[in-house]
Amino acid sequence: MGYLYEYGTAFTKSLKKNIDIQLERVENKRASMIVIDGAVGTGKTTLAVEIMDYINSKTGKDKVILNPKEHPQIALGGKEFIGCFNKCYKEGYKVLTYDEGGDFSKRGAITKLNRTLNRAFETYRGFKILVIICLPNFSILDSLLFENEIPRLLVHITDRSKYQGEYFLYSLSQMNWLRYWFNKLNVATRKKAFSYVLPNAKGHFKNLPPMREKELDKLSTAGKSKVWKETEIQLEGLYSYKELAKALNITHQHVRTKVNKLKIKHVRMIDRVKYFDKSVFDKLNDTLRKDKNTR
Amino acid sequence: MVNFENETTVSTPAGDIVKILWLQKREDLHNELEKYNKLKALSTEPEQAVLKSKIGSLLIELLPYLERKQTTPEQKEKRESQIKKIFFNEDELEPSEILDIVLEINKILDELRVTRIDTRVRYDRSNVEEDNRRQGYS
Repeated sequence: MGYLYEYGTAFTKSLKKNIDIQLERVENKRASMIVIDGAVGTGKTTLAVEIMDYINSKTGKDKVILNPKEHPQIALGGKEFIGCFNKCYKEGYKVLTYDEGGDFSKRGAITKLNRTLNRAFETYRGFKILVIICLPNFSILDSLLFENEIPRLLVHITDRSKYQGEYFLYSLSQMNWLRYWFNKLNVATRKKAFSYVLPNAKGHFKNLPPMREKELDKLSTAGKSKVWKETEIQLEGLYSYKELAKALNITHQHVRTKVNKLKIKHVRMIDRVKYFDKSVFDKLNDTLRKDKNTR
Repeated sequence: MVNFENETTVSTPAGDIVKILWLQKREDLHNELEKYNKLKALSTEPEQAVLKSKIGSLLIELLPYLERKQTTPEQKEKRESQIKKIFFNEDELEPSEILDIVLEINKILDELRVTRIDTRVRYDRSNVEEDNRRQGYS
C-alpha cells in the first residue's frame, strides 16, 4: 500500500504514538482535543481524515464517511458540531473533527466556536470522544480552553508537497509558550513564534488515495459553497424576508403581506429562500411612510 | 558569608564555599595520585605519606556523611581499618585499596552533587503527555 507507511498509518510514528496516548486519556474520561493548524491548502482536513481512519480501524469501525449529505464524523462549521457529537456517540465513533470550512469568514464565528467548544467539553466529556479541530491559526482559541487544559496536542503543518506534508508536534506547555510569543510579537513577526519554541516531535504524512481525495474535495466544497452563496448574496446587496423585516422594523408577516399586495417578484431564490433587491426595500419603505401619513 | 575584603555585602552561601574547598582537595588528591602512579610505573617504590594525608583530609570532611550512610557492621569495620591505615601509619595501603578509596570518595562527591554535572532531567519529549506532566499540567 503506497499510501501508508510500513506500520499501517498514513503518518509517521511520532504522531501515531501521541494519538494512542490521547485515546487512552479520553477513555479515562479526561477531556482532550487535538488541534491541527496550518495555512490554507496545507492538508489539515486530509491529516484529520487520516487520523480518524486510524482511530476507526483501531476501534473496529469503517473508514470515515466523506459523503456531503451524511458525514457524522466531520462537522463543517459550528452549526453541525453538536449534532455530529451526538451522532458519533450514538453510532459509537471515538473521534470527531471540527473543520472550520470557511466558517471564519463570518462575523462572530470565533466567539461562537469558543462557546460551543467550552460547552461541549463541559457537557460531553463522559461521551469519551476525541475531538480534532482544524484551524488556520490555533491562537484564536479561547484562553479558557487552555486554562481548562483541554487542547493537549498541536499538530502544526508547515509544508506540503505533491506526495506528502510535514508537521511539527507541540504539547500543551509548548502551546502556551507559543501563545506567549504570539502576544509578545507584532503581526509582521508573529509567525516567528514557531522558531522560538522547540517542537516536541516532527514527522510527515502522506496524501490520501486519489479516490478519497476527490471525495474529500467534494465534501469540503459542499461545506464552503454554502458560505460562498451567503457571501454572494451579501455582495449583491439582496434582502430576504427576514432581513427586510429587520431593516424596516416591522414583522416578518407584515413584509410578506406588503410584498404580495404590491405584487413584487423576487430576483433570486437560494435554498428555498426568496431574495429581493435594494429597490424593493426602498419601495416598501415609501409605502410604509405613506401609510403612516394617511393614518 | 560576607566577603569584607571585596567590599561587597552580597554573601556566599556556606554550602557553596564548602563545595569549592572539597573540589580543591579532590583536585590535589588526583594530582598526587597521578604522581604516585607515575613513580609506581617507573618501578620505584613511592612514598605514600603525602597521598595518605591528601586522602585523609578529604575523608575527614566526608566522615559525617559516611557515618550516616554506612551503618552495617562490615562497612563500619572496613571504614575504621582504612582510617587507621591512613592516619596512624599502621600499614602501607595496597594500590587496589588506594583505588577503592579514591573511587568511593568520587562516588560520594557525585551523590552529594558536588561533581555531578549531568543534572538535566531526561525524559521522552516526543510523548506530549509526558512533557505536559513534567511542566506541571495534569
